[in-house]
Amino acid sequence: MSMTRKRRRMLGITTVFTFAVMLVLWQFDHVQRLEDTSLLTGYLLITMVTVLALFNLRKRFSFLPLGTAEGWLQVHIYLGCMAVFLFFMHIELHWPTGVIETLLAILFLCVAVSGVLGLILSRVIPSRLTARGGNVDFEQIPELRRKIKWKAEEIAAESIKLTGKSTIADFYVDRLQMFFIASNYFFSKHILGSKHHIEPLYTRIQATRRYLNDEENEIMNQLESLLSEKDMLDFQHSWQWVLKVWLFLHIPLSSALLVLGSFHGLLAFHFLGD
Amino acid sequence: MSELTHSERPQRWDVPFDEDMTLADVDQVLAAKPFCDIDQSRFPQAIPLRGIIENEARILKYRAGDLVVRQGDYGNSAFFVIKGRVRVVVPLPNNELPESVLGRKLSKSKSVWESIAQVWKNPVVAEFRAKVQASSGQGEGDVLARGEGENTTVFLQDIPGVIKNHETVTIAQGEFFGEIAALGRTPRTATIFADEDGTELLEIKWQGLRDIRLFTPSIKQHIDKLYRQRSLNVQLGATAIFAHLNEAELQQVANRTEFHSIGSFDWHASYKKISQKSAAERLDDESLIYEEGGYPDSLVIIRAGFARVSVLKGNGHRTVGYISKGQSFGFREIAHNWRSEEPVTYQHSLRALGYVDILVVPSDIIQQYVLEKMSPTDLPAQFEMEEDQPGIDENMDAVALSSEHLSKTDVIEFMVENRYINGTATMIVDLDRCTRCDDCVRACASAHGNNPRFVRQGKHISNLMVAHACMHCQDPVCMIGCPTGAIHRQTGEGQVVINDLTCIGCSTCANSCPYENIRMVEVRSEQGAYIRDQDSQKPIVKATKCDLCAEQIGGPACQNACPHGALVRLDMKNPERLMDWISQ
Repeated sequence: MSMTRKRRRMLGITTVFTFAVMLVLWQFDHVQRLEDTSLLTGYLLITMVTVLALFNLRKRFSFLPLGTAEGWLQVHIYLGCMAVFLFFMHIELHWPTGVIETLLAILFLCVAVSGVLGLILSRVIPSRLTARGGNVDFEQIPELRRKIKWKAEEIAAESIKLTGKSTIADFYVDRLQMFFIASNYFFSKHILGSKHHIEPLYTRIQATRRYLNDEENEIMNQLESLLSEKDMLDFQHSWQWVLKVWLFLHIPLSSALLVLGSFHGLLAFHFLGD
Repeated sequence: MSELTHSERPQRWDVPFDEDMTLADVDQVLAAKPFCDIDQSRFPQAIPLRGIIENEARILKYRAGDLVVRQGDYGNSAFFVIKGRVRVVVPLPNNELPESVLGRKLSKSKSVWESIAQVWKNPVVAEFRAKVQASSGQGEGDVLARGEGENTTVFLQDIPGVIKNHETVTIAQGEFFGEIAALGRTPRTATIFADEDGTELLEIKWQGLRDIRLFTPSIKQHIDKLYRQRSLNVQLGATAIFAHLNEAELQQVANRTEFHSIGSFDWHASYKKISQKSAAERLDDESLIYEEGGYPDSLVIIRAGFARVSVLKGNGHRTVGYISKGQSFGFREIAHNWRSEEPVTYQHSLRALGYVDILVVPSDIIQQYVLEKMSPTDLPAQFEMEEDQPGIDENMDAVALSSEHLSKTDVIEFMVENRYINGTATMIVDLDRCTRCDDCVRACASAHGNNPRFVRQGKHISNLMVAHACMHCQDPVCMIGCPTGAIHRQTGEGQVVINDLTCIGCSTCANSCPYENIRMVEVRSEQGAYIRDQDSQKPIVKATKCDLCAEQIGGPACQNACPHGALVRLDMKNPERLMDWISQ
């Protein structure tokens, strides 16, 4: 907490930039002298990837005085950036030709891209979640949705008893029921920011209101409120799912990269004398 | 079922402290000294002495060695020795009884290896317990307990050994003890145990004691004398304003200092109802200590509890800060008037937040002993006459926030209204940074046998959420009434922790916690079956809560585990740290 986030960011960027410049100068110097740097950059790269992977292991030991996860993440981010520079130095800006090397390069880029994606998501999504619904527990969302559906059905059924007419109940069955039943509106709706799933429903509600008296309009208000609540839960579920799922991409890819990278390192070591 | 629309207004003595208190018991107490010497005609008709004894007191019987109070415990009652005697373990350095025999948890950190081994040694079954009660006292350091339910008492077995190895004094029949801690809501200063079988004590709730003190000059003098002798000088000396005074000067200040208890002692019981009211109604309910615009003739120092500092705005009041133990109100105004020809009035109002215990020092004393000795550079800034919203005693470590930052005011209002200011390790989550990954919950669980000790839910203002995690309060109301002392504060101002083995599952602490941060859990065997009481067959329950990872070597796992810096544990006595954290 002693350093502000802005200062920390500046320090990180400066470090990465300095590292990149030094790396280029070092590489240039060795190229001038016709020396092969790939072995050294390769081992440095695999070391970096190992350190980066340790972040996930550290999460299991939060009760040990290993520094804060926040600090580790900062190191992870900037070390990851350095690793990208090092990777391009290692491949000497040429796409590899061998099968393992190609696979390794693809894996590295996938890990790097998924890492950047995760960073962006973790910076952008939380405030959007807070703005729509605050702090909703992901595990509780299915149960909350079920309760909303039951409540909506109860209101619709009760409306017949209360008003003696089936206008609202019919409208619920025809127009709203599917929305309450559907478990999610993912890519096509919330992730892409579309309102097409809900706007027509609001429009239909408004259109139906002309056939309702005051008492029925009050009941419709309740249904409209539940509609918004369900939409908010769908939104929360979609984005929280994204926040959880990207890690399932990043971590397995990182593990594969570590294994294949180590194998590649061993091969390089084996053929060192050839 | 018909709706209840009318009822008799609830009265103070609708529910007596002890329903088994008989009229014969009351007569017996009133016949004993000093009660027989009390002039009962001084008591108002609505609060007779007999009524106080009948409804605000109870008789407790002890066997030799039974612990009555433990050093560091919080309590809301005092004791009077009816029969027998009790023994006080004199609170001197190296004279304390071991924590283990007091029924408390030994504060022992895990070794590095024990910490690492948690990863595979943590049980799979939730709330698994290998042992659920204090043993029968076979081993060294075992806690000894007898009685059932709320009548359980922890006792000392080797009384001669305790007397031989510790300096002790006795309190005999006809004497009071525990009155200062009860009236001042301060921790008990000594451990006291029954010295002989058949010891009978009259336990008087603080409300009853307050009224007896109010209407009995001799008892008032006695209690006030005790307080002046035992606590006042120490407390004044610990206040920044008087830190430079020598003993003689401090005594002069103490001689002129008054002390008052204001507000409701049991604020935690009524706070949830009060929180439903509007801001104006809540403010009306709070006892006004000093009003903005009044002449600053006194300095107020908070001895215990909290007070709201507010300033008039429109038709309401805006909270600009709060002050707690050791902080003061009115210093800047007194200092201003001392050196300016244009005097000012109190610039803020001061109200009791629930309950507050204050020391009032007259301004002439402040001038004589403080201001005249202060260098001009140490004096607080004078008020500018055109200043719209002057701050409060910032130089005296009181809490003040610049009035132009509305967002800060909002945060302060939120913290005050919900009494989160009580926390010394309040868990605050920035929802704009929190990715809902639950790494904090998992870290907490891994540090507590796979059982998370907090819930990542709670009240929030904008993006700031105060999670349901024990705040380790300055005023730990959860500790009041624990029959075995299982919930206690670790040495000094340490964490509030629960000794699982001496917790009898009575829920007193969980019901007292106004923040709902203590959970009662049904404990299980290694196979996952509920462990049941042999007699009643009901599951055995235990109180659980955050212990701030007291046994872990790495500190609070929750805070360490958050990769996005979205979670922090903060001492609310210093809200500037919260503001710094928010503005990062």
